[in-house]
Amino acid sequence: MSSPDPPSSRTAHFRGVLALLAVFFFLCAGTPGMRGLSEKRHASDEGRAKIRQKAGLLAPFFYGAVWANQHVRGPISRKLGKFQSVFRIAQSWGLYGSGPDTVRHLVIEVDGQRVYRTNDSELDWLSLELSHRKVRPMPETMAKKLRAYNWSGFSRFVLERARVDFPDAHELRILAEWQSREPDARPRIHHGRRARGPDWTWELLGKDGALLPPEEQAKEAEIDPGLEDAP
Amino acid sequence: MSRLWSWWLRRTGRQVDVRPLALTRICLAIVVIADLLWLARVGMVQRAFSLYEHGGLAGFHRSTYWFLDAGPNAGIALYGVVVASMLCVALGVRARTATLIGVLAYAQLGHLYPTGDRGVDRLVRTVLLLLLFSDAHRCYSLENVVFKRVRKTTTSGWVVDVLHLFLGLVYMAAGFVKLGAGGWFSWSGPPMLYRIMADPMAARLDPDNPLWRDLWPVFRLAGMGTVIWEVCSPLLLTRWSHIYGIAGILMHIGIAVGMKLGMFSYGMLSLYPVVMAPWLIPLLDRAEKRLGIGAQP
Repeated sequence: MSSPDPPSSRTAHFRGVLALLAVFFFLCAGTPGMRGLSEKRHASDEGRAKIRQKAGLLAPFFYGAVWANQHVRGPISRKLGKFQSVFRIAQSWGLYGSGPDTVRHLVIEVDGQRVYRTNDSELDWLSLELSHRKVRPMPETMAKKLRAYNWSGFSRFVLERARVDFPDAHELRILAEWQSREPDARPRIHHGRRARGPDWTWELLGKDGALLPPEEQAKEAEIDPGLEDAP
Repeated sequence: MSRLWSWWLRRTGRQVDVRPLALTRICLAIVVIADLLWLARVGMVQRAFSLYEHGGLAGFHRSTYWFLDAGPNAGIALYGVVVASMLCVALGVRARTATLIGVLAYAQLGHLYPTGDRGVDRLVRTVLLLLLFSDAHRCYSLENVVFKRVRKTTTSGWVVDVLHLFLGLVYMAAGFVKLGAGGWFSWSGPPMLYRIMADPMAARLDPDNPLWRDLWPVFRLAGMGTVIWEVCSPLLLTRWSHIYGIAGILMHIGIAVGMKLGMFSYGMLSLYPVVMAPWLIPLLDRAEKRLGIGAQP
């Protein structure tokens, strides 16, 4: 190990200031925001009791983290927002706080025949494409929400591929199948979409694959693909 | 000069072995390249990195994407820039410049396709930027061989300190998010770890297989252990960090095997040469001695 510069040298001061700025920037802009840890939510007696119940002996640490996140990291991070977006380093992941309450699968049917089901080795049409970690969030969101920004791009991709691989097909359905974690629970269609030839317009499906009424279909037009201002 | 500032100057002037940081640089770059090449292998590059109006998969893009009017192939060009830059970073060829260009292009891909830009992508970019403040690019570098340059053996210790702190905060946040969600210390209902590991959308375990149900107590204990381990992450700032890191390595191997998170585990494990430095450095000394590479490359 070589010996460091004497603390009084100009280089040492320059390095000290540079390091301080870098540490400040990375720690405020590039550390996880701990989504859901809002002080407001945990300030009431009821909220604190809930935390004591959930976190037990670790509750005081939890309160400290909520306070630091709310009063120190959050405000500074917001100020650095525009600058950090150049490098896109703001952490906003869920960090697997919990697993889903229900078991969800995405199912794709061509003319009533299942060709894809999440994690099913026999129904594996598009499974290679949909399992890449950059694509996987798409089916994950689709399986969760009836309306999501990405439905339009995702369903367009599936339709284009289906028309190539199944040229004689008349109907395509993308379905979210939900199943309770209770023993012997049966999977049920929670929501989905359907397109039929020759015009292949998408229609929304509700529980058990039933077509949703026209007023619900009309709401779909409100979700336009576009730009979002967010870090 | 205040005592605190003197302490800070001593801290930032401290020199440490550069090799663990160089290994982190190489591993991170390889992980990014592998991930992007795998996307090409499944034929989704054009779909992922195109605007919606050009046939892209994503229904929305960030307004911070700089190439909105640059035509349908801008995303492909950015993809190429990232792969080429990361190759330079891994090989140590103009690695500092390549890191900066690569991170900027990688961030633009994230703005173009936000849905596919996950936490680990952001973490990789953060660490690559942090490495710019070290001499990691001057060790295990092709440039050292080509230009017969003597490699750097030490670098500023504060970069290592920040990396430890950063990793500690990530794990700490993960622990607190779990505490906030609740259920990790409950003895009733499906264990949280089981719910995650048997989520078909992200993991491999079949939720219909009764064997996993029989193993609920194991999942419950492992889940509790995970939360406690994560909340204890300040240990990464102590001299026991490498011992603490053993559990981290095992956890990430478990995630790589049991879940479908792609490069997540490999990206996180790329930071571990720094954590495991006290054990890694003697191993590197022995390996280099045996290979007779001394201070080169």
